[in-house]
Amino acid sequence: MKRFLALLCVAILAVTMAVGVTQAAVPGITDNQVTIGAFQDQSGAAAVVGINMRKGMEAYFNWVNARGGVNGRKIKFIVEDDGFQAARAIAATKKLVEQDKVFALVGTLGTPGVAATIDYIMEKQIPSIYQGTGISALAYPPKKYFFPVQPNYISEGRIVATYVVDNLKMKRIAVACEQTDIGTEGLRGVREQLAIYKMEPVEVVNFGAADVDFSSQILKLMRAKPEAVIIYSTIKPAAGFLKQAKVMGLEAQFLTTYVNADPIQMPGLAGDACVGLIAPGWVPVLGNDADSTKYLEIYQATYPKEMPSAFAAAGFIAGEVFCEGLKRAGKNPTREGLIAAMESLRDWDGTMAKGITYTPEFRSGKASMYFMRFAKPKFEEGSVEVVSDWIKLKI
Amino acid sequence: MERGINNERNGNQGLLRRIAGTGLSARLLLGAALIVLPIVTAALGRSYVVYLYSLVMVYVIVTLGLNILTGYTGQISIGHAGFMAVAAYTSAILTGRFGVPFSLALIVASLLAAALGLGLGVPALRLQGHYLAIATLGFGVAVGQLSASWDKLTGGYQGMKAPVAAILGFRFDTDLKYYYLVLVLTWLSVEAAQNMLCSRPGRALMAVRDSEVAAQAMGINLAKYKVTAFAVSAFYAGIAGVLHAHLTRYVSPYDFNMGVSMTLLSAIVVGGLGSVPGSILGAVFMTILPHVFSRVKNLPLILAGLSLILVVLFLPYGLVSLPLKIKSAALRARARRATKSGNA
Repeated sequence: MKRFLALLCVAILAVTMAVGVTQAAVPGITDNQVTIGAFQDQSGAAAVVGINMRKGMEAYFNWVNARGGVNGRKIKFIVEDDGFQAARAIAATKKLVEQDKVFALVGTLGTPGVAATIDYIMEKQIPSIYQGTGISALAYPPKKYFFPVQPNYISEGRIVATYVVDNLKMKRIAVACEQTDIGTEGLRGVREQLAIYKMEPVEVVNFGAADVDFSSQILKLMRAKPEAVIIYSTIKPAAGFLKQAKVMGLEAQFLTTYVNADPIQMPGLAGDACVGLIAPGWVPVLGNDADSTKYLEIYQATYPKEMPSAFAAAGFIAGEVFCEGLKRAGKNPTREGLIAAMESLRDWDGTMAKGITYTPEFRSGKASMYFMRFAKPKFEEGSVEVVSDWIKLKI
Repeated sequence: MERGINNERNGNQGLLRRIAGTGLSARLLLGAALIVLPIVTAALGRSYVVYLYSLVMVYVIVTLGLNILTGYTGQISIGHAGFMAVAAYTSAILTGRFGVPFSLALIVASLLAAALGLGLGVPALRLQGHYLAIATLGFGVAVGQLSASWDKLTGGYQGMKAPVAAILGFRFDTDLKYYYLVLVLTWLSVEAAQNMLCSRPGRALMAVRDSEVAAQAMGINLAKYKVTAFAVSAFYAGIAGVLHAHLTRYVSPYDFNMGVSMTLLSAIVVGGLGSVPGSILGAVFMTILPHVFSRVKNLPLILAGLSLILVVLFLPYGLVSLPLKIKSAALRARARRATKSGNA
């Protein structure tokens, strides 16, 4: 009996050591599994986003795993709930990295958590793909282990400026910006891109996030006679600005950020003043095309009869981009190999992910957006029409 | 009934003395255990848990502070995270932007929180019950809004970085080193609270809580003690805020929102109102719970709510009174058996 026990101990030891050795080779990679993880708010202020993003990712990974995984390895995705708090996101990240030994972080969510874990992730050299936040600190300056997908306001501002100059053929461009990160970063992007065309804004006006009166700003703009006015703000002041501009007779092509491209809220707040407004989008609109059908099919295989939200689409895209990188990293992926593979993406299209580009110097990921126009003063069939193809960011 | 409550309260004090106030050997043992704990944890391959220990102790300090105000003095505060936020930002700005040494920043930031506590304590003299709750709620919300919108100073919603804490050139740059810094400060905070509460000021605070009229009749200056309780409580929250900032090395409005204030309040109720060990138990419970169940959807919130209800219903003196409750139940059962056999 004693001898049997001793043998058993030796056997267990040998097995654990063998497992330990393969794990030590590349963290999170075994012969048939890749372990990845993320912190996503499931119970706090951004739970609506976190829960749906998780659904999108899980649906995509289920589909990939049902087809044998990536290069023969199935994907195991661990979600830690951080309650939208930095302190808990740090604990979650450390747990994922040190205990679960994840290969990469995919789809981490929330400005506080992402901002608080940048230094740790850089120090531990963990590839981090897709962060659910628009902070530009991730892409400017570029960071080796960070691959943001969601557009930040700087690259969005550059794409909007490109669209106005190249597609609308307008030269007199003014910017109205809210004094928050949306406004300052959006303005920076517009300026950077116009500088490439050797142009600059004809006028820039500022307002506060809680302002309700924009008359002095609109008068200033009317004197500058702009052809296009880009409004960089959250949805409430943007709608208020549009309404007042209509009353005061400021005639120009209005554009705004993707954050405000809400087909229900925008007409609700601005009424008929939103007709003609153009805004970019980065998550493809669901239509009758092959990609939309495929996306719905994949999503509904896990969540039958449920329509995916925009956040689920974001999660889906996170999953797609990671799996493409993993595929390109080859049969024996390493963390450095994954990074090299990610940097080989050039204007890559997946099912929902479109126009993804990474280089060692360029880390905005989403290098293209399409534009849509509000056509009707309330939300109904055809109230928002797509007016452009994918517009690429010129770098 | 009155008598029962008093017994349980006295029992609490006894337990308290047993846990933290007893002889030197018991304390040395506890101290040694706390010193060895993170080393053992790291050796077991759970080094990230050391970070959690520090986080728990940060919450022990602020919970203790809130208990001095609410549990001992009977003044409610549902904006306590606001004091943490003020101190966290102050320390991050002082050390990060102006190169002020950490130890000085810790003192300045905590004193600033205490001063704000003093400022809030003065109008609070005229307020009681719901009104005081609303006033402190307003303070918590205002600090949150201000730190989010004053982005030149605080970095707004993107938050700001806090540098590694360093004392006399020694950098607390790993979770293990930082643990010992937090341990020392937590130990000092607990000792200080213990000593204060077991001496004249502590008894005065409890007298204010139990009956303001009786307290005044005994010559206790109500205004002085209430305002002091606010200041001391905010000072504790300030220390916790600074330690939180340099533990996560990042400060944002989200880490000190209303949810955190409510968690602190839950912690003192679950742990035990008017009890130092109760504060510690409550903070440990409410901090560890979400981490243990962080992979189960929504369970932490449900468990936190459930524990709160169960404690209020069955353990009105908190988790800390659980051993006593069991003991007295056992005693009663034995007494019943004794009378039965006597009758027979």
